[in-house]
Amino acid sequence: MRFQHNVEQQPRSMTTVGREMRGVVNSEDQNGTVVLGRNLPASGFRPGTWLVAMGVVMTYGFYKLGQGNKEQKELAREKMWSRIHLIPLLQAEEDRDLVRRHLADQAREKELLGENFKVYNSDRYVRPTYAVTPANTTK
Amino acid sequence: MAARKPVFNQQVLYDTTPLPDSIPAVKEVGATSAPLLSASYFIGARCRPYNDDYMQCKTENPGRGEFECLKEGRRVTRCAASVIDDINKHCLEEFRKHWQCLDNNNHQLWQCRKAEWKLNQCVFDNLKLEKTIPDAPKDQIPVHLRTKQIYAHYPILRDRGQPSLGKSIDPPSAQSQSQAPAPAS
Repeated sequence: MRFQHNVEQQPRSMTTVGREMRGVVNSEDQNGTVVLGRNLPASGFRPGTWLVAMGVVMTYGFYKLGQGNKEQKELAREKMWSRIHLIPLLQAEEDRDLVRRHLADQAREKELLGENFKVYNSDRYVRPTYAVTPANTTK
Repeated sequence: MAARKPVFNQQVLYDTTPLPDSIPAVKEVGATSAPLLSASYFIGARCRPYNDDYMQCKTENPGRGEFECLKEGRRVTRCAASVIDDINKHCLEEFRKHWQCLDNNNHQLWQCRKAEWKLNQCVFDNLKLEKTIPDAPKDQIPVHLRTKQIYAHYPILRDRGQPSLGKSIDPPSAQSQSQAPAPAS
């Protein structure tokens, strides 16, 4: 049964493409050659329409991106200036702490060794690599 | 070299020795990052000359700035502390709202504009300090006055009964100017 059913579905001539297609129109010319012809409506929009639509979408996207970038730049400026206003304050606090520790170190060295050695061949302040931690801290 | 980080810093390096008496003491500001960020533009508005003095001193004494610029540093700290004190005195509510908002929003200023506007208004009314962003392009609305913040998680909604916000809000100084002639007439 199934086989017969399939046979009935076979195309009538070998020249047609092996499946039945919607809108397939075949015709024979004078030489008896079968000319394959199809009269399908083109699916979807025209390419030009797609191109324009894509252009519109991309233009909108790049416009939004540009807006975002501009705002990001201004936000960065805002953050940078807030930091600029704070840096002297933070640095001053840090410097005072470093000076305090340095003077305490010098005093400790003087007490232990009797004199302060000049460790570096320059007058620059060098942030200490090693620090003494007192055995018992009173706070 | 002065910026080199200490190598062995796995433990807190205690040293409680105070500064010698020859160096005047100054009370540190003691504010954390969010209040400092919230107050930064007001610190900048009042203390810019002191800050610039200090930074100039640091530039002119490379490698010795830690010792030479203690005086300028104390001025910077005192000035900033005075700003924070004044804000605390006059605008504590708004200040808290804003810096807590900053704390909850990853320190992103654009998430907290509404609280910031209230703080800016209060600070301008009481301390006459205004937030201005230097070097911002003149043809644009300053970013902290825009009512639409592109990167904010939530749009800025007007309060109940408040007229619609428009594209930007007026800076506090412009608002006080527009309001000032009204009672006089």
